[in-house]
Amino acid sequence: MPERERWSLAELIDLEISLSDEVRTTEPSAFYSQDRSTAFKQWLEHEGKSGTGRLWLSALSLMGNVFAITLFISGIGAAWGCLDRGEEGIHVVLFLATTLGIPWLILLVGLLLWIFKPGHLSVLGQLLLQRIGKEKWEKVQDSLELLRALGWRCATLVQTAAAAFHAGALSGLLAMVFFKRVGFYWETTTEHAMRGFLEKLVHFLSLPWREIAPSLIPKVAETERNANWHGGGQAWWMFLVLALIFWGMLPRVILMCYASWRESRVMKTLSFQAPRHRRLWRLMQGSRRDEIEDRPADGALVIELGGSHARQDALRPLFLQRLRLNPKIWESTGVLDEDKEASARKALKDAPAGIILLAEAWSLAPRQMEGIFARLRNLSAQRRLILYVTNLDSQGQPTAPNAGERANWERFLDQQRGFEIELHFHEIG
Amino acid sequence: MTPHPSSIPTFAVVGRVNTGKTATLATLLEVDDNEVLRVSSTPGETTQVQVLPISYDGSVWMNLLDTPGFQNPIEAMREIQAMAEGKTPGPAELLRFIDQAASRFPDEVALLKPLMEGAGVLYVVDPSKPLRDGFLAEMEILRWTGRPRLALLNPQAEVDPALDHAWRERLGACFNLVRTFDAHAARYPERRKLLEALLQIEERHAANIHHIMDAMDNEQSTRREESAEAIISFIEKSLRLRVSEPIEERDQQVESRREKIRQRLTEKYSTELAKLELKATQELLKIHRHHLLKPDIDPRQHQGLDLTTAETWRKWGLTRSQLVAAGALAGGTAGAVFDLGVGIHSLGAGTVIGALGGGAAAFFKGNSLPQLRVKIGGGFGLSTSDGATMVVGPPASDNFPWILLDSMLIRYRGIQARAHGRRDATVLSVQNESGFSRHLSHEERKALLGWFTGCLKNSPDRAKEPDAYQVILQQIEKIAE
Repeated sequence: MPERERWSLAELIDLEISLSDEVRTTEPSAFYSQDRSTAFKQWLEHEGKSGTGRLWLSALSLMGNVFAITLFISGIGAAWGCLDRGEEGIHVVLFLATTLGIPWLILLVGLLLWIFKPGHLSVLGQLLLQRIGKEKWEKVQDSLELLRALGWRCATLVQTAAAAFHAGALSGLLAMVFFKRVGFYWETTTEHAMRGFLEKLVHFLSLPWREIAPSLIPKVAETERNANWHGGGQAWWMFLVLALIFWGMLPRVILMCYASWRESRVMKTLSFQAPRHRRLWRLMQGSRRDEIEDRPADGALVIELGGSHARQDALRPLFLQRLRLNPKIWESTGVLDEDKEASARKALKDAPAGIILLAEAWSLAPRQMEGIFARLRNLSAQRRLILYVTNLDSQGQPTAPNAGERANWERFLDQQRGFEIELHFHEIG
Repeated sequence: MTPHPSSIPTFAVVGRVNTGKTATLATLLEVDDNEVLRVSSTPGETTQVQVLPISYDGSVWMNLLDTPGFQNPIEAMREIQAMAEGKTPGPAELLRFIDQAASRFPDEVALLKPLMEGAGVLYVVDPSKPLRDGFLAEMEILRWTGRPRLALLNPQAEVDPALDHAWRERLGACFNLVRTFDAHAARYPERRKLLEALLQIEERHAANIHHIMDAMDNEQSTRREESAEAIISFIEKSLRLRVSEPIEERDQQVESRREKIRQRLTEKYSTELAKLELKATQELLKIHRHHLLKPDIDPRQHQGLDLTTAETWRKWGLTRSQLVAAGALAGGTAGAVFDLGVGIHSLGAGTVIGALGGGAAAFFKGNSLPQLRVKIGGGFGLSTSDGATMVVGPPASDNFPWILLDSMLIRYRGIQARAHGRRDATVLSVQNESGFSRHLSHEERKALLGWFTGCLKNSPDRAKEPDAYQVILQQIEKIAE
């Protein structure tokens, strides 16, 4: 079994954007692999529609980098903000809340939103996307696999940025420790509650290293700030550094790796089962039956002389059976209506296989007939020309001409030298 | 792969005038357009030989010839026998006949000419007609051609068994194979069987015929998939359909004004739903190359699926117990999400309550005639008045998606049952037809329900769409078979 084609996210974006415009034809099925993923890649290469995906990902990456740098600086700022400049000391509770508590809270809220997916959030998301005005985005947003892969890519970038925040806080802390030699303290208005809480918090946060390095756990009771506080609490800084690493950066790196792994999983297991994928697959694999172009070549133009209003349903079988022509178009000439005359002249020019002149037996007017014959002379010799002579009753039903009428028509045609036309008399009725 | 022109098999469809030769071809080639193939009850409708290629992806794999019917077979037979001077006539005499008798027997010559140029014979007879001497003469003439011959019984009325037997016996003596092919009722399996029969009488062109059969299978499979796409797309659009209108504060306060707007929107909803129905049905008709079959839908008259009658809700969709089970499933799923969200601290109460609530709601709503959902609410500056908008949405019934599904599957069945050889412009009606959704398995209903639920909330879960599509495709395959 041939190895399955690996897709990159940029290629997937290219595919979805290419498919957002309706694809009508592809190369024949023999051109493509029988494996859908491989075939789609071949199609994408054949179409030569690449570049947008790389552009999107570059933009995303740029946004991610800007976000990470911003959060790194915010992290420094957050750490710096916890410094009491007057006393040159850092409030550890404030520091932990700002650099660990708030990011975890945001993560938790994000997780809940992801699980419950409240409706108004998606509406908000759509409004946001409309604001961005990305026409292409609107076209590809139904592609679940692309959304998943992009979602995990965004998650990776967000976790990278969050790790950068913690790294910024760590940098800020280290800078304050080494360059400003700050002290660490905590203070409270309660008698025991805060101390108890802080002791429990320190105990919990130091879990990862408490067995290996118990010396890096600060004594909470000794660092409470009072009126005589003038620095100290140095045991805290290593604790804070480790807390930021173990509870800030490390989880983010793990989440970042998880998101990245999920993205690669999505990319490895692309099933291409969305409607537009199924449509492309059908186009690739399907046989296309060609339409039958040829039409029956027995279509005839019937020109009623003098607007006789003959019953078409009565004459049609006769024309089919006797003349072997199918009367498709019925026109009139020798009538008052100018439009009908014009229409008949036009129809003569476009006339199909044959032209049937339908004349009432009693109405032979030689000059009129000669005028019509003159027009017919200029037409292609390929067409059959027929003069069908009949009488019509009051209902438009054809009846047979009498002997005198037949003789008149035959005599008239004999005089038309050099002009070939078949003469048929109606024989029934 | 493209066949060499000389290797393209050709079969001429011959027979007595008005036995349904052209209708047979129309059904076989799926042509219901009289501009291409004229089918009528007028004897002699076909005046000339018409070449009808079976062509896939730009390559012709077989030619079928429509021919004028035998008009004077007994006289023609006598003429050919006279040319043979007492011997049994054969191809040489037929060639002479073609050469010399065109003026007296134009139709016989026209139909025999392609046979003498190498075409196989598809002889169409109507076994509901008595077996007269004229037919025996036709069979005899065709036997003299020495070409591969297949006889097709195309009954145009009720066939007397004794007559059928007589026809088969006589045809069996003159033809390589005898098959029944009802041009006014044949569906895909019958068309395929006809090609298989051609394969049996014309082995030399087996590769081409096999290619056509494979292409037909492929085409059929593509059509089923396209039909499933059309149906699932219609259901999604219908379930997401909402019509809205800004509503002034003064109108909100007065019951009669509110009701007037509600009625206007209800009418608009019906029109929009009918448009969706019409579009989906037209798509199905186009997929199956039907032009004469007309949908029973007119958005201008709000004519389409009648949601205002109890009968619609009773005869289609799920039964009450099935609805309760489906409601419980949907409620339970929503509750399970809650349980998951709170880290299972609810001990599964969400799932249980959701299932009970969903089931109970479905039970109590089960028998009532549903009204459209009406909501008046603010928006994000969407309205021109005081920000309030009346939105009229899908009917407040869990059965609505199933009814939509049934209506489309019924139409699909109607399209499938229609042969292209017919020329009557019939209306594709869904009235008095039974539905399909009640016969779906639990797993199939579950797969569809997941998709329907998201669509009804106007937030379709794309992850569930492929499963729903598969279920619809399977239903379509069952109907087609």
